[in-house]
Amino acid sequence: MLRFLFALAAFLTAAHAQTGEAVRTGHAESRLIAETTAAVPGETLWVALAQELEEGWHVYWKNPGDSGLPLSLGWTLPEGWEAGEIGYPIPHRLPLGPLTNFGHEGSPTFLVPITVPEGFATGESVTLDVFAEWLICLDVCIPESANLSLTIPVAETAQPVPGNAERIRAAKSAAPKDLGLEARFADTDGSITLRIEGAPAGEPVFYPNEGGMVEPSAPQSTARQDGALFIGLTPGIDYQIDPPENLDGLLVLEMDGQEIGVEITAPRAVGPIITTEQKRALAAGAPARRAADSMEGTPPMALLMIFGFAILGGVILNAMPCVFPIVFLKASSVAKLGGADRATIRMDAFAYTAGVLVTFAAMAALLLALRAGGATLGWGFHLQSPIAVGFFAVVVFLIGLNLAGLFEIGTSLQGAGGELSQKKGPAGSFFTGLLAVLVAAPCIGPLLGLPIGYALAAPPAAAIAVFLALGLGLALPYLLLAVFPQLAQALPKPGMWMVRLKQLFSFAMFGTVVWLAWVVSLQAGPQGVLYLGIAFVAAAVAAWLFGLSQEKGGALPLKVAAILAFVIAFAPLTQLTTSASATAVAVNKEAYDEARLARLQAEGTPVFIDFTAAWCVTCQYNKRVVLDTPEMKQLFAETGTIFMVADLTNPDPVITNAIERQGRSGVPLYLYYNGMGDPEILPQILTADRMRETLERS
Amino acid sequence: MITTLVSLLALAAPIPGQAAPTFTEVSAQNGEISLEQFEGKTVVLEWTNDGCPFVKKHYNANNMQQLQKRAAAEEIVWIQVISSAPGKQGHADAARATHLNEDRGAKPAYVLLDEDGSMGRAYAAKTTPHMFVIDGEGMVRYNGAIDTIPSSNPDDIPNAQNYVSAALSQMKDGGEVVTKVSKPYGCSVKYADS
Repeated sequence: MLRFLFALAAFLTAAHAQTGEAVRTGHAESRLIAETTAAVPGETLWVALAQELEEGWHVYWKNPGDSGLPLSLGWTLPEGWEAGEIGYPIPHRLPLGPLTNFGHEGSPTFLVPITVPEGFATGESVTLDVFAEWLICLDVCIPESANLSLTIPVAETAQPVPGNAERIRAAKSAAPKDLGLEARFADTDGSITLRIEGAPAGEPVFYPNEGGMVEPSAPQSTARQDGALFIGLTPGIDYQIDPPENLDGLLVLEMDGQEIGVEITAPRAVGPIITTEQKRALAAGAPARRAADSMEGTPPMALLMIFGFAILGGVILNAMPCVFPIVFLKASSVAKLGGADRATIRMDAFAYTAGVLVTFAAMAALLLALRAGGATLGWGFHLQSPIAVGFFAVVVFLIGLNLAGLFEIGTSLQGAGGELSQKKGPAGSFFTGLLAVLVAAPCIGPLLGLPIGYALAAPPAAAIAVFLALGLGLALPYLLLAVFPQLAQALPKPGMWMVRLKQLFSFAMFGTVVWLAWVVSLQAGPQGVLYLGIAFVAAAVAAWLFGLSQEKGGALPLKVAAILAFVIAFAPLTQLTTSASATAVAVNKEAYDEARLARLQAEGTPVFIDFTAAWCVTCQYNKRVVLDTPEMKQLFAETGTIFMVADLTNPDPVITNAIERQGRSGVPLYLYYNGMGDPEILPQILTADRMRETLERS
Repeated sequence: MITTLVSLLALAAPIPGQAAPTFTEVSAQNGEISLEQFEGKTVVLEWTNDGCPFVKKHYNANNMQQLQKRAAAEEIVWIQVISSAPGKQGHADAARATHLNEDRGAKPAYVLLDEDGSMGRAYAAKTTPHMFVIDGEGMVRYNGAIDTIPSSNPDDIPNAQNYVSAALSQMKDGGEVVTKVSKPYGCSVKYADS
């Protein structure tokens, strides 16, 4: 107990030593603080001038803007110790009438790294003295100064000082970062255009390092175009007299109340850096927004092209393997129309189109709503659930059995899409359309990268319009029947040829079943395939019993048995949920976002990125065996590592570029970022040990 | 919007080698004064605010007074400009402006009372002090700080090089002004809130 008290006393006096006495001047309170309990020879000791300013008063950034003076520190340090440059917090614009200053309000922390020489004697305490001068202003300005000092032991090891360490670390992580962004500037019609490539998202303000280069009070116009950030600046007097070769400064990006500072080194551009179109966007001067607003920036011609591609893509979709079964289904229903009157044919085509369009719109709306809610979803997302896929597989299997002739479609058992879609008349056609879209969905992405990519980034109304155009394309061949009903009328009257045709089509259905079963195997593993197999057998038994009941004129016991078999058929599918819900224990994942990544890098937060795709078997294996385990959830939580998912299930140029930057061409790719610099590439087959080793190393 | 535009246009700083913005302002003792009437003479403009520590630095150390005295001896027209808006720090009516200079022994040729800040904006005057030197042909020859050490500490004056003094000497010798522009330091000019 006594020992503990001694230790506590030692700790308290020690902690006290690393915090200098606060000095109150007219409008500020200032003190020196050290991050650690001791200065370690050969290492850098981080200290800071911590100020608490009177409300409304401000001090100045290194370039104070139109008036003002930056902080000046005159150090008196032990022999061989050196103080580095002042690390300023991120500045703010402080307008004063027509003038604008760059400065700090509230509680600014000015960082100073102090180099402790190698071999400096340990065991004693040293005193660091500084004469600090600053100008503090409300609208009137008062020069203030203070002699501040800090006593700190010199020792071989050091621990963080509670309070001080948090404040200094917060200041360090908020300090401007060099992200290595490429930047250039040029003179454009009497103003300066600064072009910065790959700037993170956020509302930008540029603070030049030197006064006289840029007029501080002039508003800055900004535009984001083609991946570049453009900032229009008004040249200051020094710039006008002697145009510089370099324009250096700090780019501050504000998003959701958070700011990051990025250091910019911009040489004068050799060639032009801004196109007429970009110039127009910059002249419009609208503050840069996220990509979602890019609709307005898209010229009408390009918009027309996107809609054109969407319609064309929809037509081509009819020939894609995943839509085949539906095409066959549709074809057989069209075959039944042979000899029907025009009005019926027309009605049928319109109903099908309506089914397609309504489903497209509904799915697009649902997708956009889920994405707006922050979910990581691509087009075809419903097939990411093994239950949905399993359900589809069984339905398609049943359609196959029906086409093969095991049972006929009666009026009972309405409700399941397949049965309903074979109902004669408009309702059946409507549901065929619905089914076509649901099944076709996963094929759409790869085929229609451009319109889909555009739609997902566009405002909701435009996105839905693009999806409707796709749907229109998908339905177009049948819509032609509405316009030219004689095409369908030309078909021979229904007869034995139709039975044979249906039997032939059943094989297409079974082919689709094989594909869906494969998807389930990826999603739910061997266990999932087993459940699906049981479901198939039960469904076949149900269909057979149902067929028997039809032969027996609808015998009740057979009907009950058939319904029972159907229930049994779908029951095992719910088991797929259980295996899918393994993700419930998974790490909280974020969608891949390069701006967010840059921010996290700047903050020094470690980030793990999982470049994956639903169709990538290795990815799914790693996900199931390693990534989505309680162990990983705990590891990510403990190390504060952010889990980002870059899903390439649908084409995404941003993700593709990111993969190519690592010299790879496909998934899986696992990257681990820790602060600045290049990421570490993890092996393609992950192990829990390797993950632990990587994440815990830092 | 229009105010912003006007103030922006007004804040386009006069560049050495270009014509100085013309002005007509009420002076403390001599009625209206305009730039044209000093044709053929070198004119120094000094933006001032008696409450500003940076102005005090140069007056308390007698630095500004000595410069004014030298100017008068060389027939250079020294004009103080007070652009502080009414109610703001440094604002002065004619009586106060005269009294201030008597108190500190300052002898500028004129004191202009730019209450509405129009002249300050025309010159893009940013700080007190902010200095301009205009030659006999009405061309700006210097725009910037009073000297090389931006501080409010009078002890720095002996170690600083005075830009205005240097410009006047170089012009007297018929030469180019070496440093035509510098970053003015001091308190912000206390314009009316726009």
